[in-house]
Amino acid sequence: MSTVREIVNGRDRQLHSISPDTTVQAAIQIMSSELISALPVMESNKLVGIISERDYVRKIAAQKIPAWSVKINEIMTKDVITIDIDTPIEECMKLMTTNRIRHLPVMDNDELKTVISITDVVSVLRLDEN
Amino acid sequence: MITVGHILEKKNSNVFTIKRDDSVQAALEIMAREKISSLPVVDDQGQLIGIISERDYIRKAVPERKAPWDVKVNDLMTENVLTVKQSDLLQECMKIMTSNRIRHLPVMNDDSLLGILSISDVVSALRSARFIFD
Repeated sequence: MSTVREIVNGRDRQLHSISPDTTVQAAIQIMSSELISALPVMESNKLVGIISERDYVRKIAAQKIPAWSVKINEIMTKDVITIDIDTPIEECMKLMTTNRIRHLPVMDNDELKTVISITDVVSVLRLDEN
Repeated sequence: MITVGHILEKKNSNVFTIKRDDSVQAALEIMAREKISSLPVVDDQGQLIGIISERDYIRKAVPERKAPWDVKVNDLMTENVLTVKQSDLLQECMKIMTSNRIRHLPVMNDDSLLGILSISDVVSALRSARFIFD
Protein backbone atom coordinates (compact mmCIF):
# COMPACT_ATOMS: atom_id res chain seq x y z
CA MET A 1 0.00 0.00 0.00
CA SER A 2 1.35 3.44 -0.91
CA THR A 3 2.10 5.79 1.92
CA VAL A 4 2.87 9.45 2.43
CA ARG A 5 6.58 8.48 2.40
CA GLU A 6 6.36 8.03 -1.40
CA ILE A 7 5.30 11.64 -1.83
CA VAL A 8 8.01 12.89 0.53
CA ASN A 9 10.78 10.77 -1.00
CA GLY A 10 9.98 11.88 -4.50
CA ARG A 11 11.00 15.46 -3.97
CA ASP A 12 13.71 17.72 -2.78
CA ARG A 13 12.15 20.76 -1.20
CA GLN A 14 13.45 22.87 1.62
CA LEU A 15 11.24 23.05 4.71
CA HIS A 16 10.27 26.64 5.49
CA SER A 17 8.76 27.58 8.83
CA ILE A 18 8.06 30.69 10.87
CA SER A 19 7.80 31.70 14.52
CA PRO A 20 4.41 32.54 16.11
CA ASP A 21 5.63 35.99 17.23
CA THR A 22 6.39 37.12 13.69
CA THR A 23 3.97 39.33 11.77
CA VAL A 24 1.54 37.95 9.21
CA GLN A 25 3.25 40.20 6.67
CA ALA A 26 6.48 38.21 7.09
CA ALA A 27 4.60 34.94 6.56
CA ILE A 28 2.97 36.05 3.34
CA GLN A 29 6.25 37.44 2.02
CA ILE A 30 7.79 33.97 2.47
CA MET A 31 4.79 32.24 0.89
CA SER A 32 4.94 34.64 -2.02
CA SER A 33 8.69 34.37 -2.66
CA GLU A 34 8.94 30.61 -2.09
CA LEU A 35 5.75 29.86 -4.05
CA ILE A 36 4.17 27.92 -1.20
CA SER A 37 0.63 28.15 0.15
CA ALA A 38 1.06 27.24 3.81
CA LEU A 39 3.78 27.62 6.43
CA PRO A 40 4.24 25.53 9.56
CA VAL A 41 4.63 27.64 12.69
CA MET A 42 7.45 26.45 14.98
CA GLU A 43 8.41 27.38 18.53
CA SER A 44 11.40 25.74 20.25
CA ASN A 45 11.52 23.15 17.47
CA LYS A 46 7.89 22.15 18.12
CA LEU A 47 5.05 22.51 15.63
CA VAL A 48 2.55 24.90 17.25
CA GLY A 49 0.43 25.91 14.27
CA ILE A 50 0.01 26.38 10.55
CA ILE A 51 -0.78 29.51 8.53
CA SER A 52 -2.05 29.44 4.95
CA GLU A 53 -2.90 31.73 2.04
CA ARG A 54 -6.51 31.08 2.93
CA ASP A 55 -6.08 32.17 6.59
CA TYR A 56 -4.58 35.40 5.36
CA VAL A 57 -7.30 36.12 2.80
CA ARG A 58 -10.23 35.22 5.04
CA LYS A 59 -9.05 36.59 8.38
CA ILE A 60 -6.92 39.57 7.34
CA ALA A 61 -7.22 40.84 3.76
CA ALA A 62 -11.00 40.49 3.44
CA GLN A 63 -11.40 42.32 6.79
CA LYS A 64 -9.14 45.17 5.63
CA ILE A 65 -6.70 44.53 8.48
CA PRO A 66 -3.05 45.44 7.71
CA ALA A 67 -0.91 42.30 7.70
CA TRP A 68 1.96 43.99 9.55
CA SER A 69 -0.29 44.77 12.54
CA VAL A 70 -1.16 41.15 13.33
CA LYS A 71 1.03 38.39 14.72
CA ILE A 72 0.89 34.90 13.34
CA ASN A 73 -0.29 33.36 16.61
CA GLU A 74 -3.44 35.51 16.42
CA ILE A 75 -4.68 33.92 13.20
CA MET A 76 -2.84 30.59 12.79
CA THR A 77 -4.65 27.28 13.09
CA LYS A 78 -3.46 25.93 16.43
CA ASP A 79 -5.03 22.48 16.41
CA VAL A 80 -2.93 21.33 13.50
CA ILE A 81 -3.95 18.11 11.81
CA THR A 82 -0.75 16.22 10.99
CA ILE A 83 -0.01 12.92 9.31
CA ASP A 84 2.60 10.28 10.06
CA ILE A 85 4.98 9.53 7.18
CA ASP A 86 3.94 5.85 7.12
CA THR A 87 0.21 6.55 6.78
CA PRO A 88 -1.51 5.27 3.62
CA ILE A 89 -2.28 7.93 1.01
CA GLU A 90 -6.00 7.03 1.21
CA GLU A 91 -6.02 8.28 4.80
CA CYS A 92 -4.34 11.47 3.67
CA MET A 93 -7.10 12.05 1.08
CA LYS A 94 -9.74 11.42 3.74
CA LEU A 95 -8.16 13.92 6.16
CA MET A 96 -7.93 16.59 3.47
CA THR A 97 -11.46 16.24 2.14
CA THR A 98 -13.31 15.77 5.43
CA ASN A 99 -11.51 18.69 7.08
CA ARG A 100 -11.47 20.80 3.89
CA ILE A 101 -7.74 21.43 4.15
CA ARG A 102 -5.09 21.42 1.42
CA HIS A 103 -1.90 21.02 3.47
CA LEU A 104 -0.75 18.43 5.97
CA PRO A 105 2.47 18.61 7.99
CA VAL A 106 4.20 15.22 7.78
CA MET A 107 5.68 13.84 11.01
CA ASP A 108 8.46 11.28 11.23
CA ASN A 109 9.09 10.08 14.81
CA ASP A 110 7.40 13.20 16.18
CA GLU A 111 9.63 15.43 14.11
CA LEU A 112 8.27 17.71 11.37
CA LYS A 113 9.63 16.40 8.09
CA THR A 114 7.78 18.50 5.50
CA VAL A 115 4.35 19.78 4.48
CA ILE A 116 2.48 18.04 1.68
CA SER A 117 -0.22 19.69 -0.40
CA ILE A 118 -3.34 18.35 -2.04
CA THR A 119 -1.60 18.85 -5.41
CA ASP A 120 1.26 16.60 -4.25
CA VAL A 121 -1.32 13.92 -3.41
CA VAL A 122 -3.11 14.13 -6.75
CA SER A 123 0.28 14.00 -8.53
CA VAL A 124 0.99 10.47 -7.30
CA LEU A 125 -2.45 9.04 -8.09
CA ARG A 126 -3.45 7.34 -11.29
CA LEU A 127 -6.98 6.03 -11.84
CA ASP A 128 -7.34 2.31 -12.43
CA GLU A 129 -9.94 1.89 -15.17
CA ASN A 130 -9.74 -1.92 -15.27
CA MET B 1 -15.46 6.35 -15.88
CA ILE B 2 -15.96 9.51 -13.88
CA THR B 3 -16.64 12.68 -15.84
CA VAL B 4 -16.59 16.34 -14.87
CA GLY B 5 -20.39 16.32 -15.26
CA HIS B 6 -20.74 13.61 -12.58
CA ILE B 7 -18.70 15.61 -10.09
CA LEU B 8 -20.45 18.89 -10.85
CA GLU B 9 -23.88 17.31 -10.23
CA LYS B 10 -22.97 16.83 -6.57
CA LYS B 11 -21.91 20.43 -6.09
CA ASN B 12 -23.83 23.49 -5.03
CA SER B 13 -24.94 25.05 -8.31
CA ASN B 14 -24.27 28.68 -7.32
CA VAL B 15 -21.47 30.19 -9.39
CA PHE B 16 -20.05 33.41 -7.99
CA THR B 17 -18.33 35.72 -10.47
CA ILE B 18 -16.60 39.10 -10.56
CA LYS B 19 -15.96 41.80 -13.19
CA ARG B 20 -12.52 42.93 -14.36
CA ASP B 21 -13.05 46.54 -13.15
CA ASP B 22 -13.99 45.47 -9.61
CA SER B 23 -11.39 45.85 -6.87
CA VAL B 24 -9.41 42.88 -5.65
CA GLN B 25 -10.82 43.74 -2.21
CA ALA B 26 -14.32 42.98 -3.50
CA ALA B 27 -13.09 39.67 -4.91
CA LEU B 28 -11.39 38.68 -1.64
CA GLU B 29 -14.52 39.54 0.33
CA ILE B 30 -16.67 37.29 -1.86
CA MET B 31 -14.10 34.48 -1.54
CA ALA B 32 -14.00 34.86 2.25
CA ARG B 33 -17.79 35.00 2.60
CA GLU B 34 -18.48 32.08 0.30
CA LYS B 35 -15.47 30.06 1.49
CA ILE B 36 -14.08 29.69 -2.00
CA SER B 37 -10.54 30.24 -3.22
CA SER B 38 -11.01 31.54 -6.74
CA LEU B 39 -13.53 33.52 -8.76
CA PRO B 40 -14.21 33.43 -12.49
CA VAL B 41 -14.04 36.87 -14.10
CA VAL B 42 -16.85 37.61 -16.58
CA ASP B 43 -17.65 40.48 -18.96
CA ASP B 44 -20.98 42.32 -19.16
CA GLN B 45 -22.42 39.52 -21.28
CA GLY B 46 -21.45 36.94 -18.67
CA GLN B 47 -18.67 35.48 -20.83
CA LEU B 48 -15.64 34.06 -19.04
CA ILE B 49 -12.60 36.29 -19.56
CA GLY B 50 -10.34 35.27 -16.67
CA ILE B 51 -9.96 33.78 -13.23
CA ILE B 52 -8.60 35.27 -9.99
CA SER B 53 -7.51 33.30 -6.93
CA GLU B 54 -6.34 33.89 -3.35
CA ARG B 55 -2.93 32.88 -4.61
CA ASP B 56 -2.91 35.54 -7.39
CA TYR B 57 -3.29 38.26 -4.80
CA ILE B 58 -0.58 36.85 -2.54
CA ARG B 59 1.94 36.14 -5.29
CA LYS B 60 1.36 39.14 -7.54
CA ALA B 61 0.32 42.02 -5.25
CA VAL B 62 1.86 41.26 -1.86
CA PRO B 63 5.53 41.49 -2.97
CA GLU B 64 4.76 44.97 -4.34
CA ARG B 65 2.97 45.86 -1.09
CA LYS B 66 -0.22 46.72 -2.96
CA ALA B 67 -3.36 46.91 -0.83
CA PRO B 68 -6.29 44.92 -2.27
CA TRP B 69 -8.47 48.03 -2.55
CA ASP B 70 -5.83 49.70 -4.73
CA VAL B 71 -5.70 46.91 -7.30
CA LYS B 72 -8.27 45.91 -9.90
CA VAL B 73 -9.19 42.33 -10.68
CA ASN B 74 -7.99 43.03 -14.21
CA ASP B 75 -4.43 43.60 -12.95
CA LEU B 76 -4.09 40.22 -11.23
CA MET B 77 -6.37 37.84 -13.08
CA THR B 78 -5.14 35.01 -15.28
CA GLU B 79 -6.50 35.64 -18.78
CA ASN B 80 -5.63 32.45 -20.59
CA VAL B 81 -7.92 30.29 -18.51
CA LEU B 82 -7.69 26.52 -18.79
CA THR B 83 -11.22 25.10 -18.81
CA VAL B 84 -12.90 21.69 -19.03
CA LYS B 85 -16.18 20.35 -20.42
CA GLN B 86 -18.77 18.18 -18.66
CA SER B 87 -17.78 15.20 -20.79
CA ASP B 88 -14.09 15.42 -19.85
CA LEU B 89 -12.73 12.64 -17.66
CA LEU B 90 -11.46 12.96 -14.12
CA GLN B 91 -8.00 11.80 -15.24
CA GLU B 92 -7.76 14.70 -17.66
CA CYS B 93 -8.57 17.19 -14.86
CA MET B 94 -5.94 15.59 -12.61
CA LYS B 95 -3.37 15.99 -15.35
CA ILE B 96 -4.26 19.62 -16.10
CA MET B 97 -4.25 20.56 -12.41
CA THR B 98 -0.99 18.87 -11.46
CA SER B 99 1.01 19.77 -14.56
CA ASN B 100 -0.04 23.42 -14.42
CA ARG B 101 -0.12 23.55 -10.60
CA ILE B 102 -3.61 25.02 -10.55
CA ARG B 103 -6.44 24.15 -8.16
CA HIS B 104 -9.50 25.39 -10.04
CA LEU B 105 -10.93 24.65 -13.46
CA PRO B 106 -14.00 26.44 -14.87
CA VAL B 107 -16.44 23.99 -16.45
CA MET B 108 -17.87 25.21 -19.75
CA ASN B 109 -20.75 24.19 -21.98
CA ASP B 110 -19.79 25.94 -25.22
CA ASP B 111 -19.55 29.56 -24.10
CA SER B 112 -21.50 29.29 -20.89
CA LEU B 113 -19.89 28.84 -17.50
CA LEU B 114 -21.48 25.95 -15.59
CA GLY B 115 -19.34 25.90 -12.48
CA ILE B 116 -15.87 25.51 -11.03
CA LEU B 117 -14.16 22.21 -10.36
CA SER B 118 -11.66 22.43 -7.49
CA ILE B 119 -8.83 20.07 -6.65
CA SER B 120 -10.74 19.20 -3.45
CA ASP B 121 -13.68 18.09 -5.62
CA VAL B 122 -11.25 15.92 -7.58
CA VAL B 123 -9.87 14.27 -4.44
CA SER B 124 -13.40 13.68 -3.09
CA ALA B 125 -14.35 11.98 -6.36
CA LEU B 126 -11.15 9.92 -6.30
CA ARG B 127 -11.96 8.60 -2.86
CA SER B 128 -14.90 6.71 -4.31
CA ALA B 129 -12.92 5.47 -7.31
CA ARG B 130 -10.31 2.79 -7.76
CA PHE B 131 -6.85 4.05 -8.41
CA ILE B 132 -3.30 2.87 -8.63
CA PHE B 133 -0.10 4.69 -7.81
CA ASP B 134 2.59 5.87 -10.17
